[in-house]
Amino acid sequence: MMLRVLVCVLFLSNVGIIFSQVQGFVVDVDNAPLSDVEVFFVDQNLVMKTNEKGLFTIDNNLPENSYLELYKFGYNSSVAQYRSGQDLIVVLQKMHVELDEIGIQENVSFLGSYKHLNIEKKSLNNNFIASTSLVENLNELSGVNSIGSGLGIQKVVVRGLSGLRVATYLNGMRIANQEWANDHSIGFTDLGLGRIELIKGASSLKFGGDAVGGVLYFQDEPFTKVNRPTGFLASKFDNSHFLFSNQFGFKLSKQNLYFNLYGEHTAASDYRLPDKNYLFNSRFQNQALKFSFARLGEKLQFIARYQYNNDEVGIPAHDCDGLNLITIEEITSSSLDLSEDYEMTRPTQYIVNHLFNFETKYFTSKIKYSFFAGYFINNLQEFEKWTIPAFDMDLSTTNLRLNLDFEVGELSVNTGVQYNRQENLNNIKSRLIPDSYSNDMGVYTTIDFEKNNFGFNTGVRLDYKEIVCNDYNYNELFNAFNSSVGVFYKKNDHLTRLTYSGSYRAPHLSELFSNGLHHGTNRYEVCDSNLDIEHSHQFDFKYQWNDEHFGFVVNPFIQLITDFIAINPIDSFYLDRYRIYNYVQYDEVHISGVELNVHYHPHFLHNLHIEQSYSFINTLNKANDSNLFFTPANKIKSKLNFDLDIYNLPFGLKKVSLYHLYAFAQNNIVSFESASDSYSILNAELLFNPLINLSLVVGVKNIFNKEYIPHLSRIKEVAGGVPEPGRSFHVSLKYDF
Amino acid sequence: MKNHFLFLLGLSFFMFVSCEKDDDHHDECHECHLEIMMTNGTIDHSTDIGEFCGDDLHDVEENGWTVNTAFEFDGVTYEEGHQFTADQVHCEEHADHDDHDHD
Repeated sequence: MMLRVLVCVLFLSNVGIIFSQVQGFVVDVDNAPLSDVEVFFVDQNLVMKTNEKGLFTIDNNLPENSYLELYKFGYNSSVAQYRSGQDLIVVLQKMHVELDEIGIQENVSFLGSYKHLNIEKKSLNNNFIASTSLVENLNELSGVNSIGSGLGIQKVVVRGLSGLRVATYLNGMRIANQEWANDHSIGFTDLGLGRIELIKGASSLKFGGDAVGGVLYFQDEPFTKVNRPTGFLASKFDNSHFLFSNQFGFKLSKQNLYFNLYGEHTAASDYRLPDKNYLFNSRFQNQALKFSFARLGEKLQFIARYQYNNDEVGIPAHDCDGLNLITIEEITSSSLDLSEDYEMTRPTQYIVNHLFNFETKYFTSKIKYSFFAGYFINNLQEFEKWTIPAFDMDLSTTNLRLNLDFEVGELSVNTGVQYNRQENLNNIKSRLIPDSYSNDMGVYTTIDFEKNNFGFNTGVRLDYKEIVCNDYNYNELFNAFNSSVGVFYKKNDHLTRLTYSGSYRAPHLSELFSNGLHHGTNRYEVCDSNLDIEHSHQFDFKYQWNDEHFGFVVNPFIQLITDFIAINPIDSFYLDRYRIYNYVQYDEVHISGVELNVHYHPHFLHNLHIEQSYSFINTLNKANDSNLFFTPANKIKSKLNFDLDIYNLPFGLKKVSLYHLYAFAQNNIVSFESASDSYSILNAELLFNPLINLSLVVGVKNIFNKEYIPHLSRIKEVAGGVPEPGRSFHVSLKYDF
Repeated sequence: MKNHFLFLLGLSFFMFVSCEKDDDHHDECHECHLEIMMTNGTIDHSTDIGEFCGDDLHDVEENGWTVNTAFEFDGVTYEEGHQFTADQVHCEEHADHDDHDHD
């Protein structure tokens, strides 16, 4: 076997010299070549697979010290660093337990060092066929919940915080889409996405303020080095919403040039409740188109992207009287008329997003320079009447970022400067938030060190943010200093990590200036222009142990937030029917909890994987010893994956998956908030590969047709609570060419 | 390669053109009703004022509705010429809870 490796090394050396190519060789611990290993060139955002000899080749030279991430299902992923003159031979170990944690799965994160920060990663490849929505997939992570009503309106909650406190990035661009309200969804779909990285809790160093609750960083699928055009066509049907969705993707590459194109269209009607009635106006439609173009040279590379996303979303459970005194019969239909019930009715949101971004990287032997420029414009119209919008706003965001990566001795240094401008402009007289703008300038530096199973990370960030609203003669400058420290230590199979991270959030335009009726949430919102900056401090501890068949992680955390900005219902009504919600600021709030993850895989059945996560959270408002509004219920999430690939079953049956969710009752509530009952739901899914390049997924959700109302349902308070969809079937088909 | 590209270009054109949003609701017709505060403090939505189309719909949603024939409701007489404000006129659709199932 060693002889085979030596032959390959000699072969690689010669070819590399003659053709100026970079080649690598991936083997297992017995030195047997591994085929179909995904080799991800991190700096190039380029992916390719090893051939049957375990070889991969890239035409042009790689920049010195470039990172490569290598992954194959059933093996321990690995990170290699390219150094010219050295052979790239990577050994992957068999690994049945996949916890995606420090030390087990080596990987590279866009958000920083995964060893020091609480970064979780999840692949979104094939999310379209494997999951009913992007947010539902994220919901399977421990500590993650969602606020919503059906599939039409969904937004992510991380450790009890959401909206403005969870900063969402798409390919490096901050997505600002009026995310302050619970009826404003995430703003894009899984179209063309490759993976998500999630930081739980405060994290401001690299991605600016606002990330008090966490960061969601979505990254497109990498470019592919292929000799011919590739792509896919995919379709999905889900009978809970009578949802039809289609996607296509197309990839081209030639020499150093790469091009990706994607499109999507989705139409969904009203969703069916467990009692077989339909929640009126829970329908939605989406059209999306995105393309990216790149030149990935040896020293200089650039990527340009454009994304269009158009959502038309019905706002269900609308109560004309605003008092939540209606019955469920008044907001549900006993039947669907498919010729009419895909059409938008009222109230409705129309959301149009355009995202442009451009990033360029320049590599020298010592420093990697990267520059990012992005522009995102969000138009939001909310209609309660047919012909007159209640409001119509354009929110534009501009991001500029210059970042440097270099090494000083054994320290890895990352430093940069960032500018963010946001402008809110009303297109009509009726408005909820006035015309206003903000400018945010920040500088940051982080330092990483790792040696002999010990590592630390530290960083500082300084921000200045100006908020101006001429209508209110408001012009305030906020500044904040943040820092973070993380250490990890590994001994044998034991890993520990302790992290402190600080974050801040300046008050948002909606909190400072909104004053009016928001039909989407049935609230009359009253601002407070005296709100000040809120600061967060999080301590996060993680202990992990694993062997080949069993692994577990314990992750307690506590977050202290001072000057916490909240919106609270009061005992007053606007026009005698819309409850008034005031923005207030609490001196001190504590959010604490623990997350546990267990992964078991029996020795006698290596292709059976059982994963379970427990997330427990508690919130405390020190001012009155009460909880915070919308504290998520504690949850146990269990997943069983049985890989049937080796059995060669009929119809190409490849995998069986079961997902079970148990949500505890939530009685930790505030005034005018209702408690919620416990519930459990079970979903099942089968994956088939009936033909080469064809994938078929058939599944059923909520198998026992359980009637349940999540504590974070945005329509929990209407008509005594509106349940989530009942039992539903879904089928998805994807053809890769 | 060229064929693939043209096929996908055609597909994307079809997807977006065929699903073009109908933003202009001025040609639509909708039934409207009044929101009337009852003497007991509750709100009633049972007084229909008929179907409005196009510019008439826009006008009634923007400027409200003027009573053209006097009527009495909850012991109150609304004389001809009485003006209901735009906030008191509702033309949005509501759920239809009939007794047949299309399941």
